[in-house]
Amino acid sequence: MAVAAHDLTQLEERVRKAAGVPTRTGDGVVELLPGSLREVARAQAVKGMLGQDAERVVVSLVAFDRIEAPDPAACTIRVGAGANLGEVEATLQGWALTLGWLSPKARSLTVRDWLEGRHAGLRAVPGNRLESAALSLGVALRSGGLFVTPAAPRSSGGPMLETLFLGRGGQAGTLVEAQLRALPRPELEETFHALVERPEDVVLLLRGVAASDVRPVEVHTRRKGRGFAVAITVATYAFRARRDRALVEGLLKGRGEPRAVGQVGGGAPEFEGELGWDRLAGAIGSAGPLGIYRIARESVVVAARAPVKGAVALDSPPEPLPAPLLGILDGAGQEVA
Amino acid sequence: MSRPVHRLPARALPASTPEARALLRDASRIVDGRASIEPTDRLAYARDLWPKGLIWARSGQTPSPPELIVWPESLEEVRELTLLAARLGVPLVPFGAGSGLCGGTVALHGGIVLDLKRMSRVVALDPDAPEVECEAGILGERLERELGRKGLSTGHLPSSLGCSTVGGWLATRGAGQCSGRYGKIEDMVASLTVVDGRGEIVVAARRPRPGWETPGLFLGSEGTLGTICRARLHLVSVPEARAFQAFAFSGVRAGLDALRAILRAGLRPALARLYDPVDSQLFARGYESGAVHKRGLLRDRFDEGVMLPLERLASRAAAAAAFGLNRAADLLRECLLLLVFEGDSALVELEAEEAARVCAAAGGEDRGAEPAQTWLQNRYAEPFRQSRIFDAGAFLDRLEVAGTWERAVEIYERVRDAVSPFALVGCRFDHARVEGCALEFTFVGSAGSLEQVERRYDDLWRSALAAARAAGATFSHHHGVGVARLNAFKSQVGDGLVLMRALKATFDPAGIMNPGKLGA
Ligand SMILES: Cc1cc2nc3c(=O)[nH]c(=O)nc-3n(C[C@H](O)[C@H](O)[C@H](O)COP(=O)(O)OP(=O)(O)OC[C@H]3O[C@@H](n4cnc5c(N)ncnc54)[C@H](O)[C@@H]3O)c2cc1C
Repeated sequence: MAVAAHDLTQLEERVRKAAGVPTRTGDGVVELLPGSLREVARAQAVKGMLGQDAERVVVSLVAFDRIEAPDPAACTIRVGAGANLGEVEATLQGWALTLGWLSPKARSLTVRDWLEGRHAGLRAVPGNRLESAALSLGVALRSGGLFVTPAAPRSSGGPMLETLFLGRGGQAGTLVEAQLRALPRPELEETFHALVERPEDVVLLLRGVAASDVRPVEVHTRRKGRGFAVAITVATYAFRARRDRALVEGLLKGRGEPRAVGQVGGGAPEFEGELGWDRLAGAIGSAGPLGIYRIARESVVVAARAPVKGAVALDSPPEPLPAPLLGILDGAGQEVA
Repeated sequence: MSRPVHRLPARALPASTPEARALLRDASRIVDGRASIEPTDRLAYARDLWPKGLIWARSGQTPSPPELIVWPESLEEVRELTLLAARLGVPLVPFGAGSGLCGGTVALHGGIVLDLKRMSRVVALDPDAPEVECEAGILGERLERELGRKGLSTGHLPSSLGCSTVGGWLATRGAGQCSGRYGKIEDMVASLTVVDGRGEIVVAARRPRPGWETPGLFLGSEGTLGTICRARLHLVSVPEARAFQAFAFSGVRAGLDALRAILRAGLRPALARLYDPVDSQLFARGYESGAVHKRGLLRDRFDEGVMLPLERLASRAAAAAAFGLNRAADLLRECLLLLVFEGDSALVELEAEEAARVCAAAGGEDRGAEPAQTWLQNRYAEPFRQSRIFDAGAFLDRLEVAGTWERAVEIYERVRDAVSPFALVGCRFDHARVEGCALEFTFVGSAGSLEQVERRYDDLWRSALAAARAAGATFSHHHGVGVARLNAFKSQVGDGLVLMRALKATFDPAGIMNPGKLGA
């Protein structure tokens, strides 16, 4: 059903009636202003029916930047997809919670960009594993329907359909809102310094720390003389702080020379990328000052002034979903229409 | 596409058709004769451990039997069999060890059952990463034994360890008993190798490796998209030490508050399981009669302490009695919390001390180490004794749902109320994480005839799943969907079913993979 509207006001009236949501015009486009997930789905379905006029219609998600108060029992927080992660984190900190230790660039993203981009909302959780922070997603499907994933800690109800949205750049649908998992913020953070000989020692050191059930949250390394200066920050709780400290100090002694090495971090990073452990030593050896974040057994995030060899840039576009799969969603959308 | 399960009298298993015999010839060429159309095999592979299948078996009926069973030994054989099935449009149902509790392996549309247990090699073990690559048909117990020799473990230790395969864990998104600490199986996967319904080999790896096919698309897919042939899993070290604790709380709420506080305090127990008053009573019988822990005696004590009372309760839990028993159980208050910490000895000691402090502050009464030690020694014993309950003309089943902490009490109360008219019901809160936990309900019930048992069993499940949904729980935490929870799956996924259909059309355009399951 292509709508041939020559006049913006006429188009506005048409889409307002069809979608049943407020609208406004400006800059040669009509903005649909849905206020709920259901309205977003309807607005998108209407836009999908406009044929070439669709270019003059924008489904605006300005209403979806809210941040609710955290749920103190479940340590979760409901947010609109447009909310800023830095603000979400600030809200959580007031409740002694955190989203996890994110890389510097991630901290300034919106929830949508963090979840839909290459980060896929992943953070390292105790046990040194990667886990998506999204407990539940509210998505307006490309096919026109709504999809809300159950808010449960874990489930076994079929394939993990949320993985068609996390890290997929909105190809299968538009992320509108989310319930995020937070983590209790440990009471203490402590930074340890050392000088080691080889990049491989840094990797072994980090692996050793993680294998000892200590939680490394941030590492900085840079060349110093003929070796490498390392600063490892770990998060811990008062009841185990002494044990964790002794362990990290023991590992540092085994791999190098524990000592103050001055400023290790090196200015604002231009590049952030995800890197497998097999490539980390190479990156430490060849990059300049390197920040290592989101340290998990699967991979780490590296931050540097220039691109790091072997790392997948976190601001690069996600892998495209296959056209036939998207075609099926579009086909279903037309059926709905 | 789904259609009701056909139930045939076991003796009337239809004779193999000429088509089935032709299929046998073709398949035998691929798998070097490891294929069968024998009635005994077809009967054996007609069901898994879905209790409803057990009820049918006792009433001399069998659900829709497969026409052919094959035992491939390699990925290449699986690929050729898939191409054959796709060419002929014959259903293909992957089969691990058949320990599933939801009818996942029931061949709703007949066809070929692909038993993967001969694909059981450990392909590579990298102790530095540490990671293992294994074939999907390996039984959990064997894999753990091989890893244990190197001081490693998957950390995935379900009660069914001895009778379930890695492929089955992955295809249902199972949970080990210590998933609170080590994660569920989906948290352990580095990559999967799948032969999809087109006969193509798909390697689904976690990022940053390239490719759009991520493991999450195949995890939980219950054989509907392809056959998982290999998995690469992250490993953990076998723990050096363990600490065992038990605390009694007066009421579910007090126990749950303590459980939550433990996780909030940064503790990471391997086991943190709270039994409601009914389960506490049943469980307590397993260890109360003395402190001897010799092998052999334990098994007898478990039978006497847990299974015999359950059998007695089952026979008494008929119709009207169930409701009365549940109301009487309302008078019970005490809830038992079991904690097991594991890891290096220094940390284990610190965690146990901190847990004791948290539990004391929450009003818990220290019950010592024995209950949790007894749990550990019996951790794999429970599964194999349940058929006695069915022999007694009763039924026993488990429903594990999950929700966030703020909903846990409501989920508990609503499901318990919904089940009360049909069976005696107990619950344990398990697989606890910072944001919530699983609630695992046990039902024991009976009725006059097997037909009545079946009706009662169906009514119970319908009520329980509706109550769980109304309280905001997800309908399955680790047993999957199968046939038992298909309707619950469809109503939870809602418009999202189109996503499942899109995946199905992408990986299995001929619709041969376990058809009728997962709404696609
Ligand atoms: C007594 C008892 C205790 C149990 N305890 C637990 C527990 O603690 N935790 C838990 O999670 N579960 C438990 N279960 C349930 C059951 O063991 C799990 O669901 C297990 O994961 C099934 O594994 P299996 O190899 O037996 O799979 P099957 O029952 O053979 O198959 C299950 C489903 O997966 C599919 N499938 C199997 N293998 C493959 C493959 N290679 N590729 C694609 N699809 C495949 C099948 O088609 C079917 O849909 C228990 C069961 C019993 C009987």
